[in-house]
Amino acid sequence: MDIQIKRRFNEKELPDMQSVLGDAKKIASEFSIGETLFMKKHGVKSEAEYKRNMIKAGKLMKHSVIGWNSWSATEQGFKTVYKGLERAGSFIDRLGVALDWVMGVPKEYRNKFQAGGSLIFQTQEEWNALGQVVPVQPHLGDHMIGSLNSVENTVSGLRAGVTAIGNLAQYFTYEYPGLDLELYRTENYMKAIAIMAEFKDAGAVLHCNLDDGYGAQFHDVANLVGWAKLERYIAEELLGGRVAHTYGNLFSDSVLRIVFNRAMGMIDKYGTPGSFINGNTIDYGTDISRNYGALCSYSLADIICQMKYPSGYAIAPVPLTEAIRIPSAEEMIEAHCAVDMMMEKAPYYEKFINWEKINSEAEILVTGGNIFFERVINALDDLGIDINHAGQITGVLKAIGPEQLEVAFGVGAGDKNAMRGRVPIRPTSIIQTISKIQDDVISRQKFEETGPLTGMNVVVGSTDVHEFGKEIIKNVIKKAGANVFDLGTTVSIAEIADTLIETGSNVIALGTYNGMAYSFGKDLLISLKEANLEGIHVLMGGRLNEPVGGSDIPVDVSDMLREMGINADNNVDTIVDVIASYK
Amino acid sequence: MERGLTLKFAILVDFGSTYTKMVCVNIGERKVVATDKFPSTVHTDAAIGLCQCFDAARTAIGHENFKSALKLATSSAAGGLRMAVVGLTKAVSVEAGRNASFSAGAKIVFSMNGLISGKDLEEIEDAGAEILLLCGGYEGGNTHGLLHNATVLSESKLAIPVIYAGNSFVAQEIRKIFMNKGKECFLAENIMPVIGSLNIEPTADIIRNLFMNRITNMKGIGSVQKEMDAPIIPTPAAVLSAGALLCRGTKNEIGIGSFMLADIGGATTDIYSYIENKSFQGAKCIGSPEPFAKRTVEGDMGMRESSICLTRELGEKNLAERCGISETFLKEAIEKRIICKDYIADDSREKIIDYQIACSAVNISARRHAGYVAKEFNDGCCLVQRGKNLTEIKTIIGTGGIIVNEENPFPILENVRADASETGHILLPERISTLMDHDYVFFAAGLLRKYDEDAAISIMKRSLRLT
Repeated sequence: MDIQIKRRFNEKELPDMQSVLGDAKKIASEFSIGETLFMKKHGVKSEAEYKRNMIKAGKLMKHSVIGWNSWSATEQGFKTVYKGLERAGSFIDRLGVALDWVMGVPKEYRNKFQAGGSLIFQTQEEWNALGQVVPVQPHLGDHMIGSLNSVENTVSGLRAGVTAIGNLAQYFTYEYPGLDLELYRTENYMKAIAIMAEFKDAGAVLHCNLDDGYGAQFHDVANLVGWAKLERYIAEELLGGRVAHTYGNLFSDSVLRIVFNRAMGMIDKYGTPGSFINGNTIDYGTDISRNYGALCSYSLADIICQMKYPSGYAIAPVPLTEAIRIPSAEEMIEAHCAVDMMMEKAPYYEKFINWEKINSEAEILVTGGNIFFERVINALDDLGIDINHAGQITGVLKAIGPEQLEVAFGVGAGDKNAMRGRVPIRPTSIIQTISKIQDDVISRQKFEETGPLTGMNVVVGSTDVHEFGKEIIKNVIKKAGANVFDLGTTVSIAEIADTLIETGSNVIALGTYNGMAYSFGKDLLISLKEANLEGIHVLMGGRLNEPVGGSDIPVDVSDMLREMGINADNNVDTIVDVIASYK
Repeated sequence: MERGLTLKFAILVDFGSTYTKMVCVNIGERKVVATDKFPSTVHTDAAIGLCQCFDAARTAIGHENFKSALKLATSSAAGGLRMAVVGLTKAVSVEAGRNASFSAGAKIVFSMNGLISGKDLEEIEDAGAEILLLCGGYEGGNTHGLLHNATVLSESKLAIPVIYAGNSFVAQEIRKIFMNKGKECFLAENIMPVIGSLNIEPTADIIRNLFMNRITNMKGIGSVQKEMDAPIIPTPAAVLSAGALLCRGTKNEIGIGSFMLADIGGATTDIYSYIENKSFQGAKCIGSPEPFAKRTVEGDMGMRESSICLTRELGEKNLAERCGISETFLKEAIEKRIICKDYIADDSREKIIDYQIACSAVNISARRHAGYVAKEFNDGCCLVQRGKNLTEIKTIIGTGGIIVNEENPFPILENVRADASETGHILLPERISTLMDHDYVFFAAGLLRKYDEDAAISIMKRSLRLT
């Protein structure tokens, strides 16, 4: 297939590898890694050294994320969590600190933007304070390496004694609106990784949360393993660093969490301790009881895995309120205590796990991942990309994007009816969930071989970035015989009328999640009227809410949509009959 | 063509309405060795102009080299190929059809979207198009509108070939509709098979093929085809292809990166751009996808016969003020330009008028070529982009008579820049460097690239004074 490379800069204009490595060496020679209270307490020079000690001692570690909006709240939170856990007979080893997004922007541009309400450090002293509040090791992920300010933030982080710095994945998926400095960003990214590499013997590791990058966008876990291998190739083989991966947010299947951890261990040739295994947050919702079940099920799997194959990954007890609000320190403590109980009970399960099967599943993923890796590297070589240049590879992989990578180089068998044209070797949890919902709905449909929508053209789309609801609807109505035209995500009202005309459709089904259902529906109807389109049926589904009447709280607007003539049934089981009635 | 393995020289000819131009290239040395131009004879016998060009080439490279030289030609005579485009929606199928037509070297004299009404049909019939492109509908999409339009066109007085490049599900039926009424209909692959994809090459191929047949039948140019080693192609198609090479480079020679090119003629102003379209600041791109190599032609923006339209667009008072002359003087000056297409500005006031017309032609044409963004639906996708994002273009190249003859043509070209009030709205660059095609070689490079890409890019770089 033709690979469309949506370049934002000419990768050949990047400085050569020697200059990048030379610059990094020079920068690294001008400072040293600071010492945190945690390092002092445990007598180590880095978190990696501590993790290796813990692996030897057969002890597990725990991690939490702190996301409060000021240093004083953060400092207080550190103390409350640490002391609270101590009082409860529990512990915490590391704390992930979320910086404000403007920290990822070079200082000279910051005054042009509205800060997001999270942590902003102005001086090195403020950075240094991170590790001086309680003896818990800070971890820096977002808006560090991969941002527009990678080098400066990495140097500040190391000087403050933080030795696990990322988040490599952010380079690929996070955009700084209004600042398209991609060439600069890529050069900065390479240099920051190379600076970390200069300190690898002192224990500096590059954190990368796969789920923040293409992990969320791949459909096949085998391809994700191949992607992780590509990240290691760039950061370790070409720039000399050491990578500590994270995953977990999007892994709902507890056993898949274990299998994936084993696969990650198999591709880690330098034996670098992992970062942490994030909680399964896709199963978290507004029902606290169910969230509690989710916490116990995923943490049990992660604990069992680390007991059998200790690899330095900390367990992450996600507070039960995570999907509802920014959790308080007390809610963080509660989650830790729940996980402590799982740690106590895990040994009973561990010995009955079929490890042979787990490892053989992991080997399947690694084999697939290796094929994906080889295909991508060979293709880049064929495209004239210097496969020994970290920045050229990184820039072009981003310009190709996860969907094309998976369609062109994915390892699943080809199938034109499958999403992305391939049947995944092992689908990601999101794809498993979608497939299950879809299969259930389709199995409940009672139509003959010729579906009730045969001969009908239907347009589908999503008003925001959420695509999975749209995918389910698309496949259900396709199965019912409709000829479906997919407008994709972040659909603009301005393109809907034209699409209805070009497709000869009189039905549009839209998914929406971002609390703008009413305004979108209203503006859409105006636009269809302006285009003189009559007899068009609009269906909206997903989260049909919006703040109305001056309030900030979104309320259900289904009735308001119905009053305007929009179908707001929001029911996947009846959608085929509804569309069939428009024939 | 059988001349052994090594081509030493190429003689490249452009049959224009005003001049027949010749560029002779030493392929091995990748250099232009001779250029010349002679008053056009395409309206009487193109062979006369060709003979003059060949004589000049023979003198430059000697008889033996002349005999074995590669001989290729382009033509923009008779104002190029005039086309009409009929689609279903303005932003999607008509835009895709326009892009295909422009990239094949045509000029669009009429375009419309929707169902053809009686009034529309009259306008189509009066437009003087030589080919009609009928398009619209994704694969498996609209059929009703296409069948309606085909039926109306088939029953019209139009006696020109129709190219159908819409939803292929009704392609055979549509061809039958035209054939039954004794009208020629050629089928191309769907110009926009699925949402977000553009497939203009098959349509452009048919347009070029029809162009070749048309000029073969024309008195004048047809007679010279047999002297050439390959079919004569439209001049803009060759320029478009040359520009793509100059942008991207060859295996051995680095390209100059993204750029625009402005060709200001007597009747039209052509703008070309070479850059992959990308979203401006995350805006949602809607409408037909934009090609990497894009050409647009403004039939109302020219130095001579179209200067009256341009004056109307700007307003006589406004243009007179810019030139520092009276409206009466301007009126006379424009009339002179319409009557005498070969008029050469002969005093300082006339030169100022030419200069101001050229500035406006570039200014307006670039803005019609470029895309734009606008805020729509505040809570969702707030920025919507229509058309091509040219904000990252670094260079503008000028070509054509006014550019070559003007003492300082660069300020004319700088009119493509977005001014402060347009930044963040019109997708043109804020800063740009200017270059000039001193030797008028882009058409020649476009012809030559099929045979030797390195020679083709070298002659362009030399003409731009980059080497």
